Amino acid sequence: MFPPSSSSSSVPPGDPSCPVTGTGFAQASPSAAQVLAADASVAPLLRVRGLEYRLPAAAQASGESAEAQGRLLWHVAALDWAPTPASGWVHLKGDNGSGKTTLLRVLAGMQPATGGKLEWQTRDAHPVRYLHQQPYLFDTSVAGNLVLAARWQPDSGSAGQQRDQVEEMLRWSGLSDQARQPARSLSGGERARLALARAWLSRPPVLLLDEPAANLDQAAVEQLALRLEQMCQQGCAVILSSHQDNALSQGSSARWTLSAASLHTEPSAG
Amino acid sequence: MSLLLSMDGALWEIIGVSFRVSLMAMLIAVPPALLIAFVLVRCAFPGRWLLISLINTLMAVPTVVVGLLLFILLSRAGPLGDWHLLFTQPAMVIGQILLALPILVVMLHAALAGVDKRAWETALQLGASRRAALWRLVMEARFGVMAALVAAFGRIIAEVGCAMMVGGNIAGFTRNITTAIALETLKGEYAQGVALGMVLLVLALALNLMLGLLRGRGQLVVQA
Repeated sequence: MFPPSSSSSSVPPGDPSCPVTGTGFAQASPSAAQVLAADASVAPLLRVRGLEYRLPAAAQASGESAEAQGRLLWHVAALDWAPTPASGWVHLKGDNGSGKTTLLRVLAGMQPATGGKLEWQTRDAHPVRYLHQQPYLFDTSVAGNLVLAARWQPDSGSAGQQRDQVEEMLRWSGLSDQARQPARSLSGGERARLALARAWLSRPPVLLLDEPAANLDQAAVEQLALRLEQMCQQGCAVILSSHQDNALSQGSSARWTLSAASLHTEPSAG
Repeated sequence: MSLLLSMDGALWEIIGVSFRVSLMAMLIAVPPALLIAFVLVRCAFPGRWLLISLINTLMAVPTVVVGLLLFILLSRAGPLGDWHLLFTQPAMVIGQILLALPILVVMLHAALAGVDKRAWETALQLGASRRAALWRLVMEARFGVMAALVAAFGRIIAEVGCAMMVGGNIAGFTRNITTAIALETLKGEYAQGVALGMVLLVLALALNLMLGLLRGRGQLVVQA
């Protein structure tokens, strides 16, 4: 068994009155279920128990009562996610303000949940990469952004290996001709491609994308879907959020919906 | 001018003292200033705004007051009298560190605060260590950081009050450009004073031209 990589906190388990949601992929995908059944030692990649996020209580409220808790943004009673390379990505849906971004950031370990347990069961010390809705590009060239990612990755190889990685990702993102251009001079679609390539350079096991289609036109979304498909086939587990259906929802294997402050999982219709 | 061109040994000695002391002070002051500025940007803690206001106030403290405090501390009877540092170059370095720190912290804080919050998160997400991510923040804010360095160096190399009080203006030892100017002027030797003053002016011009060049190139790159 792999040691859990993420921290867990000792907060009372989820409120029993909350709807217990499905068990994610194990239910959604027969192949994943078979894998689980065949080898009991295969743990789900992601295990969530009673995870919840409360918005910080307003300052005025705390004056009235020290115990005042913030409004519950969302609650995830139980979730086991065991994606397989063939299964495609998860589409996280929810209205504006339902907490999609917060959920992804909590899953990425960028901010703590206010309660519950979250474990990424992987050997990797830093398995998850999160991509902002509007990715931040460093104030250097296109290639420079990839060079930084190559240098920072956990097991960065020799300078020569890093250069090969950068060149490969330039080709992969179709930005070879713009390699020396300042990253911030790129168009919206090119920026998105560069940010994806930068995150994918080190081949992380999990990638979380926050509204990747928000600022892209139809053609760019379809291109993105192709790249995501390729990444999933190479063993990357992808969760992406989007408040509306588009080309990205068609390729997804499961849909997680945030509504009424809780997460519901279902296999994808598409 | 002819004095400078004739390479008057004593004159160059004086200029050397100024640069040695101020560069050393900058070398020592910049890393802690950067860390303090970073903490002020990244961490919310009670009293944060009070601390920022305090540092802003320190920026306005006259150099003679810093010199006076340091003089009291370092004088034979003072708490640090055993260090025997009064009227030495290290005392001048300490004084200039104290003068440089507030302006460095304030300007570095402003520079780092101007960088998008996502820059830090993105660097960490891509696997950067905290040190590498901090260095990346500095690079993202490089024009503001350069401005901070130039402003702080300009302040400490041009200050006269503290250097005079704790340095003592000892010829060939702690006499720097500014204290020499003060002395020569009092003696009525205006020529040497003017020559040294021109060194400071040329230095200020050079630093600002350099900054302007860097900035101009930065803008061109963004527009391209």
